[in-house]
Amino acid sequence: MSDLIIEARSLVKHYGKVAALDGLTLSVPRGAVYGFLGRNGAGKTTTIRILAGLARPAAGSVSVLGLDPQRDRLAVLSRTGFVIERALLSSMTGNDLIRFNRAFFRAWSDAVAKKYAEVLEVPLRRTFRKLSHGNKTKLCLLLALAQGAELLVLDEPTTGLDPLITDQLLRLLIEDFSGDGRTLLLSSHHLSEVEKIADWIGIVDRGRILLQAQLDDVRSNYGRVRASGERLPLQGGAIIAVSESQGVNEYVVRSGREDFAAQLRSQGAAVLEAGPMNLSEIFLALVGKENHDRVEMLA
Amino acid sequence: MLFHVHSASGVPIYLQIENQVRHAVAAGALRQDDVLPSVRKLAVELRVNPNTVARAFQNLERDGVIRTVPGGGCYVNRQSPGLLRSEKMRRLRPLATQLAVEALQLRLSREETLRLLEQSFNELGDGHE
Amino acid sequence: MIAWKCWRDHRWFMIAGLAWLLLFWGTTLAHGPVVESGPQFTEGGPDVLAALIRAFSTTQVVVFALLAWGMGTRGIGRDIGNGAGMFMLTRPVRRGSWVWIEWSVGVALLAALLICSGLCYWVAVRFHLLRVTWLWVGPDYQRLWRDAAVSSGTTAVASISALLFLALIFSLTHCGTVIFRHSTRGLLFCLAVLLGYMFLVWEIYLHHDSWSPYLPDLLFQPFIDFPRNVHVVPHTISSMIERTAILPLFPLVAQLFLQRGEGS
Repeated sequence: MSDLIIEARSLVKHYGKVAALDGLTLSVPRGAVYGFLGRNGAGKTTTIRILAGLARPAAGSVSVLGLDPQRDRLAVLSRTGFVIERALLSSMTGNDLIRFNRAFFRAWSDAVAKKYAEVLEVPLRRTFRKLSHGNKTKLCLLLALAQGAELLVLDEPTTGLDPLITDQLLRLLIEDFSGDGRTLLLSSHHLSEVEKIADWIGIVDRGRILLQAQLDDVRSNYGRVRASGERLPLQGGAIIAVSESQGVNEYVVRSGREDFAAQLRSQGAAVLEAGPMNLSEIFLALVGKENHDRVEMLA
Repeated sequence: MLFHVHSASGVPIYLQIENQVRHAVAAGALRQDDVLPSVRKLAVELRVNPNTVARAFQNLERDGVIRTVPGGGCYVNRQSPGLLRSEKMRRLRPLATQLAVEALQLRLSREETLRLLEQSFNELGDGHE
Repeated sequence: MIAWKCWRDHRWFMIAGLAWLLLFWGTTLAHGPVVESGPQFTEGGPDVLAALIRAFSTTQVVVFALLAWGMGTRGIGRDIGNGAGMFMLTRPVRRGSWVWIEWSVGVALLAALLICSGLCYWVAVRFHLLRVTWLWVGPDYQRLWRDAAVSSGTTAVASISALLFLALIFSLTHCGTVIFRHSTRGLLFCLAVLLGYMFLVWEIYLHHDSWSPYLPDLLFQPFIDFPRNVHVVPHTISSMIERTAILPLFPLVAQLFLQRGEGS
């Protein structure tokens, strides 16, 4: 088994009566860019907080870099960069914050910080409270990226950033982060960005993982088949969802779409389309279901 | 930029890159001993994960389309006559079947279908070199 | 770096404190002192120094107490309350360190302020820049008045006593701010504890004559019971020791709250 940078098993966490996490199991291999996807309130931020040692799970186990984030908090935090909320010390300027943050991390690089500040267009002389939301986000990211961390955990990093800066950020992440043995976990709503840079994805809904797999495998396997005909199947092994309108059935299958299409043809149906689905479509198909299968590991 | 990827198309990115390289080679845009950009550089340019590009390059190398020189650089191979004819036919067969099936479904005649094929060949230029 | 941040947080309080000293000593020396007026206007006695110190110190201490009260609101408690908790608590620093470094820097700054204040006073008395207006006649006055060491001794004791008072206010507010993650509640916590304690003492001494447990005098009054003796006495020493001993309890409580609680 490859070396797992993050491993969470059956995490349970309640806030009052609400179960934020309901048996969440997650594995992030070293060197991966892991897209952690889910709706608001699905449990992404709670999971990240547990990884950062900011929250204690009621049940389950978690290890980050092979360490327990509660017991070995300092070791985890010195080697991991977290960006969770967009709030820093409001009376400090960017330069002050760089100076403040520098002292905590041995691998800190001022050169990297300055580079990111330039590329992302972050004003370093303005006090934090006067920055726009986008600039605040960028500054938070900059501080984490200049840390020289082995693992970076970003909670919705592109929210509030304009498309140009998002593009620059992705470029920086790829340049400096992937392929170097360093690992990146990012949670996001922006599926199109995750789709480009992630090699693993984990889709979480209602506190559980619905799908965790390599993105390429998901793309190769999942598919949409549209067909019209008589007595078309409504259930079957690989069918995740089926909807019907105007005599056309649209199937979402989790594997073997060509075979399924061939099977339908052999039953006399007219197959209108058998094609791949993008991440957004897969996400909606999985999360929109009522009775979804629980854990799905394709790799 | 020689390559472009559509991240939202649902086709795996490594496959898109592979196909684009093959297409470029087939169309003569990439000739023997042309150098491809490095994995990292291409990844940064396309804003995609380097592992994805690496996978595409690995597949292309396995299939003999390109070769990696130790010390850096990927070069386009001479398109191997060594690839057995039967192997080539095997590779094309599923595409041919798919074309035929689609044509039947859409009730296109054999002549019209063959004419389409001819058009594609003409656009690419018959073979290369 | 945490110490640097603490300094930045308290910067304006320190500047205000020094400005107050400048103002106080400036006006005092310009007009000549009327530290405490009384019925007799004669040459001095031993009690004058006690009364002098007490009066001067009270005005100083009131201002400094307000500063200490405000200073206690700065720090990790307020930062968490302002939403920066997830950032601060994901720095690789023990949670206890935040509390103890902030506390130490705060107390050190207050000590520095009092040293400045004590120095100003000592210099003024030593070089007779300070005129005293009410005094009891006593045989040892001449000797005492000229004995600079005594005045330095009493100034030092008074300053330490003042520091303990300020440190108490600071510690209470700091602890409260960490517990409630809110500046205003920290301030109120400090007031509530102090007033509550004074009320408790009052109640006990008022209603239970037969039972008089010794409760440490937390506030600033080192000489109040012994106006005729300016030498340090055991009672004062023991009360100062008690007052020092309870101080670290508050950052300790704050540390426990910070460690047990979840981030933000």
